[in-house]
Amino acid sequence: MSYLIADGQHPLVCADAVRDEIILYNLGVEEEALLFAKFERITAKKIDAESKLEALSGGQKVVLMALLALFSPAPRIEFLHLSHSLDDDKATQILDMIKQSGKEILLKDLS
Amino acid sequence: MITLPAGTRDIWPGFSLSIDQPLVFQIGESYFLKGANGSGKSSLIHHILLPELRGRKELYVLCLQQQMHLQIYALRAQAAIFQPGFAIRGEEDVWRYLWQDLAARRDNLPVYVIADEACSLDIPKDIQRPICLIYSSHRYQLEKAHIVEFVQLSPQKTVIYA
Repeated sequence: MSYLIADGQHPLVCADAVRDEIILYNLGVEEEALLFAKFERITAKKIDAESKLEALSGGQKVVLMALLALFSPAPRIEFLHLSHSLDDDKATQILDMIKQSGKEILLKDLS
Repeated sequence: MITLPAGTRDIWPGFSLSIDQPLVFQIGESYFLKGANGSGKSSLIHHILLPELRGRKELYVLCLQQQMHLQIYALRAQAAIFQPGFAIRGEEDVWRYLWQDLAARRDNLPVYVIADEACSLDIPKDIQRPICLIYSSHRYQLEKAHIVEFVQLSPQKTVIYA
């Protein structure tokens, strides 16, 4: 069984803009809009496809990674080290989204 | 002792950090950088604190970066040359490697330990060197640490209170 691996210790693969990660995760236009809205709701920071990844904090990168994975077409996701860089509020919001995603999700090393 | 003066610093277009009162980091003390994701803890470390510490010959700086995979690669390369056989697989090995490297030095210069969202804050008991620990974490708060609080007034501005 194949899982999309999303590791909080290596949250982003690309080095330039959000658009690169969106292409990598194969998000559609609708999912892209949902991702930006959800990201802003969770972090209070507005981003778009041209936003630079280097302008995100470590925790914001982890939030973005989690949203990219959840909005991607992947039916199965394995999250690693998800809570490590997140404050309590953001960790709770992401975990709620995971529960409601309807995807098959494994959470490992939440310590 | 390191003092960061009060005032506002533009970190990048659209984000600034204001230091309310001069921030003093003294040897022998621990400081907990407390704040939500995106409040500017790493920015203080990388844009203000490290530039202040860099180049000082009277102290060491031991810095563990957040999401440190690049640091792990760099230290693996260094270990391959200077300590062949020392396996660096993850953050705990990096921590162990850096402390071991520091312990091998014969001077007694103080060390500023800066741990940005570190997994571990365990300082080896045999380290006699004077230490100032500055750390951020969403998991740990050491009992005796001074709190340096990051209050986000908006996504564009944070004020730092000690």
